[in-house]
Amino acid sequence: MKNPDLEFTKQLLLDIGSKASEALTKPYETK
Amino acid sequence: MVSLLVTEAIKEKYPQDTIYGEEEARTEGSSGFTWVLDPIDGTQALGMLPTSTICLARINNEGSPVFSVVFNPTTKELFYSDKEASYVNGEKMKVSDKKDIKGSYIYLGSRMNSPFASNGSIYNSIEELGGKVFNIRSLAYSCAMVAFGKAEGAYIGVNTPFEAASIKLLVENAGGKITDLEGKEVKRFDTEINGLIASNGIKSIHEQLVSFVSLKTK
Repeated sequence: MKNPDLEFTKQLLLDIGSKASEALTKPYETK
Repeated sequence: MVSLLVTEAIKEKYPQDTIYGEEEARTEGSSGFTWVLDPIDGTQALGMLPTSTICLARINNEGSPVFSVVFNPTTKELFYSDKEASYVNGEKMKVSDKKDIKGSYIYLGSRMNSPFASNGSIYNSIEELGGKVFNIRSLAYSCAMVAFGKAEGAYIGVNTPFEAASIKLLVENAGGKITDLEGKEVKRFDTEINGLIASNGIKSIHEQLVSFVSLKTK
């Protein structure tokens, strides 16, 4: 039986990770 | 941004839980559960290596993780663990069965705090025995690779639990072993820790990883 709290957390990180993926994966910019 | 989004979502669904994140002030709840969050594990690797992750664990009132999730938005790998097993994208993970440091892959990230050996000393000890040292800046992803069977060991040198809380179950439920830097059990993951060593659970490998940390630099 699936743990609903774990399922919520998985979906939360998938959703937020997808939203943030552009910022998280953008090419390195030299200073 | 990530920290705020995760924190707001948890507050809405679990308003009585404590939230302890790397970027936000700790908010105290009354439920006995604590969420430990590292919104970006491996900040320095952003745009350089595909290794940064988001880490989130729910900790019970005894300080033990109930479950944890580590997500790598670049590789789309979703690591998670419940009470019985660890998974990556729905597939069960298992640690490697390599029995010797020779030929092993060991992740060495953050610097060790005093009084432990320097990273340089640890690096030399591993490579002299034929092991291969990696530093990808992301502590949780390094440990996830141990759970995934891609590496035999990983060190976390920091005293904060933000990454460690999420990898304890991942590694142990894949058959691996977790101790602090002195080889002792980590009793709580919702407060300061004494660093962490993750291994594939082979006694000789774990004991050697502990011994390398105890060697002082000359």
